[in-house]
Amino acid sequence: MSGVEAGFAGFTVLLFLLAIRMPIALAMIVVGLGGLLFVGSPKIMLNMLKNQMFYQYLNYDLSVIPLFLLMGQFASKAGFSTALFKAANAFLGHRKGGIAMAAVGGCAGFGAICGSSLATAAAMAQVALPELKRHNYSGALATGALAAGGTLGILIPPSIILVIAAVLTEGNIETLFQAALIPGIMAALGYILAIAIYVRIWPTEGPAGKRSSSEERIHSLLKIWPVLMIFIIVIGGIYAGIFTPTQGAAVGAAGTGLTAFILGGMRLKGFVESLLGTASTTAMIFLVLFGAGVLNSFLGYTGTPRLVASFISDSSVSPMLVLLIMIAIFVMLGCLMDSLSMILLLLPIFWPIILGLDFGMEVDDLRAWFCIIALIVVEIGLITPPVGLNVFIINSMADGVPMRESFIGVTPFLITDAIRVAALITLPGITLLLPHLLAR
Amino acid sequence: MPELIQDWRGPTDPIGKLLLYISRFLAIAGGILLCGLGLTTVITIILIQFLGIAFVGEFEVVSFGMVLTVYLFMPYCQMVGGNVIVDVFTIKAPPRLRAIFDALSSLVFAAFWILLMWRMAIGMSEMMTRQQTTAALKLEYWWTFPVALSCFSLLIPICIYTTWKKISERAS
Repeated sequence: MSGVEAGFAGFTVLLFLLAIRMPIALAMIVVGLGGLLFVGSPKIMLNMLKNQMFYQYLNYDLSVIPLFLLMGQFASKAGFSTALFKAANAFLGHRKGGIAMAAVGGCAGFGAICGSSLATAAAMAQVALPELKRHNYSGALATGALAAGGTLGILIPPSIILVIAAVLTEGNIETLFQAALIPGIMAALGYILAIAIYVRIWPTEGPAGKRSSSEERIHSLLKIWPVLMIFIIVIGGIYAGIFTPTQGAAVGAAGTGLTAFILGGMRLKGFVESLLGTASTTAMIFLVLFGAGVLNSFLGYTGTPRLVASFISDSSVSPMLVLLIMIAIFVMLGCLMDSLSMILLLLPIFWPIILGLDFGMEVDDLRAWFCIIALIVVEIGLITPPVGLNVFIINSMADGVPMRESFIGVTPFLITDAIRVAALITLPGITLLLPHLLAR
Repeated sequence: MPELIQDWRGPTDPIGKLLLYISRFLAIAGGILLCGLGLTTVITIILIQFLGIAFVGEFEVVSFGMVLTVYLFMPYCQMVGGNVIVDVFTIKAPPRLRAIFDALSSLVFAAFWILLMWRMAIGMSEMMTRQQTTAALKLEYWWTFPVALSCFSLLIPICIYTTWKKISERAS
């Protein structure tokens, strides 16, 4: 069996193990170790285990992950979701579909503090669902808007998956944070536009709420100043190069924790809960990172990614076609797996191939452009049937809304997603504008 | 994130309770260490931005401490079933079959931790003879290994326990 054949065989075994409920990290470890044993020797495999985990974890770039997770945990306890939703609602609530728009706006704001899609969707749903129900919004629109809005958590920096994408492609975290901002804002505006068109066609689905007075509006804005402050300091500091991402995350976690304590009423119990929540997710992510490392030493040993890349570039297939095929794979697998595992599994395989093709871009630009597109496509998987984790979470929180209705409700948002992905692919300048401006 | 989707209710038997208690204790210790590292970073920034005093070893302390944090978090993650799985294919499978699959995974996990513990014990002795350290503060690499080994030694009974739980679940 040649190296490439072994690589593909390993991938098949991996998919089989995943299908029989083996944790993703463990499946990667088993295939990686087994593969090294098969194509290499027991000595190679055993030597790698002696210190690979230590060297992999002793990476300053990775230390941003637990700190951002902690920040997200504190954010859930700080009452930010309520304040953000109320502020957005004071300005948008009186329009048709306005409360759903406010939920999307709240998600964008919360996603700026919390880097996880599911947590963003869940936090915002807790606040917004009762309000949407009270104003007789249809179940489809209410759950659809929240599930879609939650995906903004991945895209709007700081986000855990952006950090992981940067680490896996050996790029710069700051650049990816910069590149994600404009596509993230585009996503939020696209979702709001989708709601506006939706209620134009079916006006009864999202009736207008009452108009807030300017006094109420100012009052609601005053309540979100901690969120704004933290976001501006963290992201501004990282963009301006004052902080490393880890330092930004530490400052953000400290600020959010302090706010949760003073304004959110977080006490010892809430603090311990935050620590435990951080612990379980951190350990999960780091174990998958180790698994991906082991799997990639095996794949690297067989030379599969390099050979596939050179095969593609020799066969004069257009690079764009390769990108589109990868996107198709992302979308298909995205319907079955969660976004984090997909990025961890596929990015290390796809990135060397993309790197070997000629897109007429410099490496840094290519990386930012490709990673952002990959993240958006993966995030679309969170709201597509049959799995669509976000839709499931929101649907389970909304009593009496049938699953089918929720999936119908996300359709308009999926359409704007598709348009946005097409725009970002054809016009790389949108993604690269901010990194280029700030690099000067 | 998994903490939202798990329907995990704590163990009721004394062994499970003890394992959960110890792993929670380690996770909280790791969490406090994480907060400490975060505060170190914040204080470093304040010192350099406002007082102009530089603390050279900040990066080292943070990345070194983070290694320990991650090890301390691992038993808790395993104990509460925090490792992500793909369950689309088995969502309609009979619960007994799912329990068998899960028991199998736990068993393989136990084997992996045993293997890793053995290899990292050797890795530690090599690190000790080579005396590799971080650049500025001379933190010795091997110091992290006893923490890793202690956490893994807890992971082995946890995995055996979850295997046993899943098998008895199947039988009931």
